[in-house]
Amino acid sequence: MSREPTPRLTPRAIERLLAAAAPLRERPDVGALDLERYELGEVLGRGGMGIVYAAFDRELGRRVALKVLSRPAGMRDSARQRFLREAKAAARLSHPHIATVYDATPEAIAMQRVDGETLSEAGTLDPRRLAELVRDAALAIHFAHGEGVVHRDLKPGNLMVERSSDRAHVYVMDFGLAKELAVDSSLSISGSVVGTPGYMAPEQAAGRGQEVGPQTDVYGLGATLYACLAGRPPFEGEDVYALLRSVVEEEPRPLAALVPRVDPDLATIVEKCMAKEPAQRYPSALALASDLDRWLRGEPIQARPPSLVYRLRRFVSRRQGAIAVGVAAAGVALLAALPFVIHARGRRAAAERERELADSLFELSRRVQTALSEARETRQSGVGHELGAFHILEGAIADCRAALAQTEVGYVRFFLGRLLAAQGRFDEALVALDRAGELRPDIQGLPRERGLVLAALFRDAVPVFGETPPAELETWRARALADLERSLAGEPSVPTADWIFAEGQRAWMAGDLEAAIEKHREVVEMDVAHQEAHLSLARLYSLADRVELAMRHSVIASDLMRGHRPAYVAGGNVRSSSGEPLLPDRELLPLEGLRELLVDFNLLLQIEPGDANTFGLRGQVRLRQAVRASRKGNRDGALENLEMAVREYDACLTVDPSHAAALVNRGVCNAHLARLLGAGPGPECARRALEGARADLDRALELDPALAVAHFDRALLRLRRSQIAQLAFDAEGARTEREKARADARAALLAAGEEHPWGWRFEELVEELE
Amino acid sequence: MSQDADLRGTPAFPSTRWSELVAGPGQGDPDGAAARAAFEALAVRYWRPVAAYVRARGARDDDEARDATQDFFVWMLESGFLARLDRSRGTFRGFIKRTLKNFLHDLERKRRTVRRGGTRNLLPLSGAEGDLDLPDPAGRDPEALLDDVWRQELLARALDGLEAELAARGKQRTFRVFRDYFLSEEELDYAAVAARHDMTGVDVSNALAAAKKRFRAHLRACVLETVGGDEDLRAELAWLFGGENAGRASEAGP
Repeated sequence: MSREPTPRLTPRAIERLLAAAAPLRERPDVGALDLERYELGEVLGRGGMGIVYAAFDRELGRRVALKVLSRPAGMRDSARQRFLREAKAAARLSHPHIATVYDATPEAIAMQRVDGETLSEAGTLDPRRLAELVRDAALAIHFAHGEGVVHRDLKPGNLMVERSSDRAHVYVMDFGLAKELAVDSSLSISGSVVGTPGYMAPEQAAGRGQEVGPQTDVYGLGATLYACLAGRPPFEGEDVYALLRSVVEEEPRPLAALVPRVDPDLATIVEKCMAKEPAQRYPSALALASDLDRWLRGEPIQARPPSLVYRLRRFVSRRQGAIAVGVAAAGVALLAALPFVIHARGRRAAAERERELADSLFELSRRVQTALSEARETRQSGVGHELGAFHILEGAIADCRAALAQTEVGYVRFFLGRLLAAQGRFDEALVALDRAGELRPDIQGLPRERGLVLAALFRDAVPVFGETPPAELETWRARALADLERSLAGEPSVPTADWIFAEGQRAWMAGDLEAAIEKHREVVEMDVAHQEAHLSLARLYSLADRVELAMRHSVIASDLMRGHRPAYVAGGNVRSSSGEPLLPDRELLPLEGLRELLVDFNLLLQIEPGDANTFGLRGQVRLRQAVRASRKGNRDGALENLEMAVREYDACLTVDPSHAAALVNRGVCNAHLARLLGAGPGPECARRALEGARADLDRALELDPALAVAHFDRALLRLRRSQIAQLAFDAEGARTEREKARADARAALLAAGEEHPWGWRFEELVEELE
Repeated sequence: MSQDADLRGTPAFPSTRWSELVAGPGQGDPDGAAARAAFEALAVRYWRPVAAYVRARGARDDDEARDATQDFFVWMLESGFLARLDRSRGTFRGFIKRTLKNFLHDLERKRRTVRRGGTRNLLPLSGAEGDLDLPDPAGRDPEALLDDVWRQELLARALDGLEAELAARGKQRTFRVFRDYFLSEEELDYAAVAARHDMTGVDVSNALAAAKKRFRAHLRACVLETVGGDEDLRAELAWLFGGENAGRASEAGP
């Protein structure tokens, strides 16, 4: 760049520049697009994402609608980023029937302002007028599809009609914007409904995201027509789940039943748009526009009322779908299904019971699905929500158990297994899944689910503190491999992150660590919040001796999975295998970090009372707090924390007497205590603390002679004893202790190896003692 | 009605934003390579304030401050600290202050043990080049000094952005008017600036109004790069305009 560098600013220049920029201070929030470019007027609306203002763009002299975005709690940055990407894509669309998005930044969106009313506000319209408007909208939608943008939330509220002259002009609003809003606001954690899922296409309501495409918008246009003709939405429900279920399972009431005078051809067009299967709808928005045009001109339309055979098949497949919940149920052969229908008709009572069962199963599966996704979202939403996720899952588990107390149903066992797995209770999950497999060997998702649980058991069973691995280890691995092989037999049309994750797990179980790492990396590339993938990467990297990467993924995993036991176990695994005792950054972790960790561990103890590691981790935090207090000269604070730490380690060692790390740390605590209490020929308690410290460290090194930190701590202890001996004029004793200290320091250095984070300290000590 | 979707003259929203960095490795960036690059970019921009702090904390001269600053950023990049950024929310400035203190503390201890002449891992940070021209630290509180230089850097960067934008729009003269009015030692008034550029007083007034508006937008964008969210933005702006006390308050955090 050829510009001269700006000279250093003088204090006077700084003062003047700040004065020139002062208005920023008063209005930092609106300035996103351009601080003073927009003159804000009345508030047009408020939504989950922010406030919409009528505004005037002074620079280009036009009126705009300015949506100033707030950052709602619970909306993650990734969602915001996605939202922004969508808005930017929409900003490329320029069409006479699309309200233009002028610009989008992380703070605000400027879009074309349309004066008029939405179709939902417009009251009853003449069917011809309505068909014209929807035809125009369909043409606009078709144009957008050509640009690669799908609206995904078409409904009467998103079609705006401007009646400027004799003709009404329709605008499609909120292109590409509404989708993220719906995701974030309509299914909030509390379960309250904000959005209008009644207009969602079945593939959206069922969460089959990969099927969402142009024909989703065709459905939306059809649903809009339906609502405007009938005066009510196609589906209504008491709550969002009932509503979603209706969208997936039920046909809307026929238009002819609601509006007796509706033209049958127009009703047929609507029905074709709203077919459950995307493939049964118009192939494009253009095809819909053309058919509406034909109808308007009085020509024969191309849509045909569904045949009897089609209706029958759909009825059957729906029933089967209701039973085989969560499992793709499309494409049931008509011939195979017919006898079932006849049979059921003959035994009405039995069929009735079966239907009830299917219904309650469906309810349960919805709850399970919701619990699983909510728990995941909740965990990711940060501190304070971890118990929320735990309770959501526990609630669903209780429901399953209650259902099982009445009847033993394979599917319910299957749900239970999935929930337990999500809770990190893999051993119980395995029992449930095995039982499900006995009852219903044909459950489609079972091999994969079970394979993943077995793989997780294998992953977490790798020893933390040198204990012997469980005998089942090899069985788990072999069974996981078999299950995963089976479930990955086909090729998915679009491999999802979960699919690739399963492939990664398979590679691991087959012993190909490199391939496993590769696959898991692919997973986190696709879904950065894929918790299990991060956990697995943590373990895989530590097996491959890439400690830095292992640490990183274990930290990410434990951040994503607050209150999730395997995350902490994996963290402990990685950290202990890297030779560093449990907590990263002994020096750098800020105080808030310590407190946060303590909260984590307290939660963990609520979930799993009596877990030795958790006591150990809690002791660790107390120890760090004590060190910190001591550095600040706060002797009482240090003493108090040390005593608490010792108690934590006592608890840990009561549960697991051979917990080497706890022994080392209790030893360290006691050593600190002794120092603070006035070591040497001082009070009795200091001497006892010193004795305790030495005993702990001796025992720890008996259990694991390669514990570098224990050697180091014992060396310090011995150095201290040597100094005490010196003070007592015991030259021989001082020399002996010093010798021993040196031996320990050397042993620490030797055990530490090249990469040990504390290596330099060990070196320092050896040098000092040489 | 114009369908022109181009917001001419709006500063491009920077890709190196602190909020994106603290969000951790993202899609398509599993190793955090992009995050690393983003961090380097931020580091280059805020090199001087860090060096000023280091200098005030007892570095013998600018060169020693330069070395320690270099070490600090290298350490940030290599220690895996970036992967854990989300633990320390708040502004980039607050984060730098907290980490820097710890780092220097550690560095001093290490220096006492590590033998002289060891290898040093140098990283090509362009901020390390040229004359640092650090303010005299005598009798100054290091943190206050960091804040002062930080404020200078923000304003200088906004000024650079303004100049680049106006040049790109062929309005070099508007920038010169702005510069003469706000930055010249003589503190010219409208008439003097008008005379210098052969303009009327009204022209000067209009040019200044337009340039001030753009300057604010650039300044805001610069501050935005270094904060994690809306609340931080407010706090950081309050600090920027309000001097040291406001700055302190914004760092208290939760």
